[in-house]
Amino acid sequence: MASPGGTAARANSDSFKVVLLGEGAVGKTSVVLSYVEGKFNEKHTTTLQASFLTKKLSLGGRRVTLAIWDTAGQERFHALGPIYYRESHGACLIYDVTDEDSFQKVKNWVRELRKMLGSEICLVICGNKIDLAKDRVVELSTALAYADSVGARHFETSAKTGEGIEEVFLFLSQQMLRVRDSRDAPPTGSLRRRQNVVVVEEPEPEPAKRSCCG
Amino acid sequence: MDFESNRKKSVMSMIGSATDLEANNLELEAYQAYLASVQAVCSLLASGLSLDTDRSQMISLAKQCLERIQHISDRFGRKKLPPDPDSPVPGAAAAMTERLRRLRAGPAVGPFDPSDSAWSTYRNASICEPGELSEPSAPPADSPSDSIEDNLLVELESDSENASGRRDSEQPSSIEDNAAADETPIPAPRSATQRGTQPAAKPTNEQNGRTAARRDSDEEPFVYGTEIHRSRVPIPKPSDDLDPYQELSPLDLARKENERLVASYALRMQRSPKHVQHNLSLELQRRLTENRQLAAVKHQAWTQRRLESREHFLQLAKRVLPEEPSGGHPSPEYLQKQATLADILQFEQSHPWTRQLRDSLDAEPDSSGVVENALLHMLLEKSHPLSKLRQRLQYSLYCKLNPLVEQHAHLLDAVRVPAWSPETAPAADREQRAGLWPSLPEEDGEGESGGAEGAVGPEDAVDRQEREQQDEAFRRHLRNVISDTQDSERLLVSLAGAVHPALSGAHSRPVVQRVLFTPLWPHLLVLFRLANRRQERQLAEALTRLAAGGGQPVPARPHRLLLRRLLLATSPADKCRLLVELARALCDTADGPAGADVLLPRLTALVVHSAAPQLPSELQFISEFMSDGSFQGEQGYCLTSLQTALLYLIQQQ
Repeated sequence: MASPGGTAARANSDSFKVVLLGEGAVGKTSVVLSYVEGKFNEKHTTTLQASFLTKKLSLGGRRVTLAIWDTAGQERFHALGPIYYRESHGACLIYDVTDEDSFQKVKNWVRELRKMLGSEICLVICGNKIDLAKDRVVELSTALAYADSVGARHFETSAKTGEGIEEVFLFLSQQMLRVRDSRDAPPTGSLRRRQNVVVVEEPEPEPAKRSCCG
Repeated sequence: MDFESNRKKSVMSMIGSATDLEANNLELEAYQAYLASVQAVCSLLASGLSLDTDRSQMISLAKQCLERIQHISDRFGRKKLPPDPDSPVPGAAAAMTERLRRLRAGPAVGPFDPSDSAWSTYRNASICEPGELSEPSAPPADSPSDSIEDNLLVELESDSENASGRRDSEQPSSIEDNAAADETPIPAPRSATQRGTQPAAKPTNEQNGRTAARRDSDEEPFVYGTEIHRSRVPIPKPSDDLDPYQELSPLDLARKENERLVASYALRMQRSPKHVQHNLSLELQRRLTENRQLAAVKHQAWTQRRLESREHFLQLAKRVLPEEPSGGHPSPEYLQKQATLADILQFEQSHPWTRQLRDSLDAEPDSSGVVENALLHMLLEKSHPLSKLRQRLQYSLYCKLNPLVEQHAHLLDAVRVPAWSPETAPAADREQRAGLWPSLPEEDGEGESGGAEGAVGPEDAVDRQEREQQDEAFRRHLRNVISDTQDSERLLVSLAGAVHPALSGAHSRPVVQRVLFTPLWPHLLVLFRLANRRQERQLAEALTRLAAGGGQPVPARPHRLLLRRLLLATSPADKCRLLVELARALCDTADGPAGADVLLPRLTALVVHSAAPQLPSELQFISEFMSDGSFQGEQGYCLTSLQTALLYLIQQQ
């Protein structure tokens, strides 16, 4: 169902859905706001953008639209997570480096996401609040090792200073593009080649041209 | 005159005693007394009143009584009321209020008056909000409104006297609501000035005072308008009226002329002596034949001309409409579209106001106001072919809905909050009462008794199987109706777009939806709710339990108002817009924008407070008619949040 939409959207822009998961106090909201504004804790135009926001990026000439969905961190809403993350292409799992518990929660989420959505979904894990270095309890090496073991990328972020946040979403976008390309491609070999042939035969190789110039 | 004033006095005292009864908490007695008062007012009106002011005063009194009737019956639930065959059920009360309102509303506005009033006349005729005028409600300042629908709600919420006075002062015109044509039981000649300056009736003042007091103290439970499905107004079969502008055929003209001749000769012959009579009769015969023969010749040419012009418009329509992708024979849908578009183009030839609409669309193709105005005129002006098509589509959907809806609507009585009601109902606070009653494991939805009496029998397994089959049938029918409704909407939107390219944009779909769904919504809601019955019952029980537990936070007034507006809105697009607005308001905190951690608990609390078990149906309604591709956007996010809140509550069981 997502695949025809994805291919159709290819011509203009790729849109992806990204869910934010993490326990209540890890600073999800601040991370989003910091990302959308590049600032921390400012007044904003629409109040919904801490829960839901769209962000347009340009990656190597391709336009990408991210729809970022926040989820409720409270334990009591946990069972309803699947409603939020169904059909999402990427997930950003956030924990607080000063809170061991929140890191354990991330592990639960990863297990669940892999179970429900398989390996198609791109995962990034963010250790947030690195500005509070002296209170840190989750060691970087532990987190990196864990992220490696589940095929996710680990980032260190601070919503307060804005550190690392751009990179998180940039990486996630690139990763999602890669997954989409390789998924659309597999019989890719032949399909791609055929497209190339068509392009050669066609008097106006419009689509190819546009993707080069854009 | 004396007799009349005596009867008036006795009606007034009846109403007075009814309000006294209500004030003393004798609600059942008050209910009966109000019913009797309405009857008395009706018979007084039927006997004819000499003064206009008296008439409208009586009507407004009857309206107040009906509102009290509705209020009491809402409090008791329908079953608790005495099974008097004559007693109007809330639906009937609503229909009556509607009738009275229609009587007072006066003629609507014509092309090129501000379409707001045409729209509100349409909406008023299509739907009637229960308790809308009597309950504490939105002060305009609280809810900055941007669309017609909002304005209308605000208008409804403002003083009814003012509203009707304003409406009366507008000019007469040709746009009529599609329901008003068939009934005008009381001829009510009236003048705008009289109505405008008419002093308000005494009980009205009292009522208003009470309402104002309530508004301040906010003691009365907030009314969310959850009973809108009870105010179903039948959709009449569209009449195939002749367009007054339409050209008469030569044969018709000759027939008219001949009728006139026959009449005048008859008169002359009466007055003439016998021998002249014979001559006159011969002369008449000759003239009649001549006329007929002449007309027959003209008619041939006329028909030819008409056929040619029809062909011309059909070709024009074909040029505008996008080609059928299949090629070969055009589909019936395409032919219907082509024929309607040709009708529209032809209609525009003889109706200069359509030219003005086109000019304004040419000038400002991107203005949502211009688009809305043009569409409302095309969809509401009774003789416009698009409006005729709209009426036909609505009627056929209504015919599909009506039998099942009317037969099974009573099943929804069991789906309510509080989900179980005490047998001996003191006029106590709803929350308190619910707290006294033990929770029941499973309520029998079919039981007329409300299923409150206890144990689940062994034959329940059979019942359950039957109920599941019935639910399945409801769902199948709903799917069917949804798909037909979607087709109707698509047809109207694509035709609008074919008339003018500016009408194919994103602005026009919500307008089409609003016009199409307004009279259908109360009927549709019943079917949605029947199909979602199981889920709604679970929700109702969860809400009852939570309310009984107490300690639930009371949501902020602006949030409650937004949910109320969402429930009262009649089109998916409006509901969706209001849902997004609500989510935004809920995320707006003193510490800046909040995330889902704040949004979901607040949304959940609002649902609990609303005690609206139909929310799953509202949710499904919005998502079925949402444009493709918005599921990943903001609207999709808000729907998902509401869905999560509802599922969370249901799973609390």
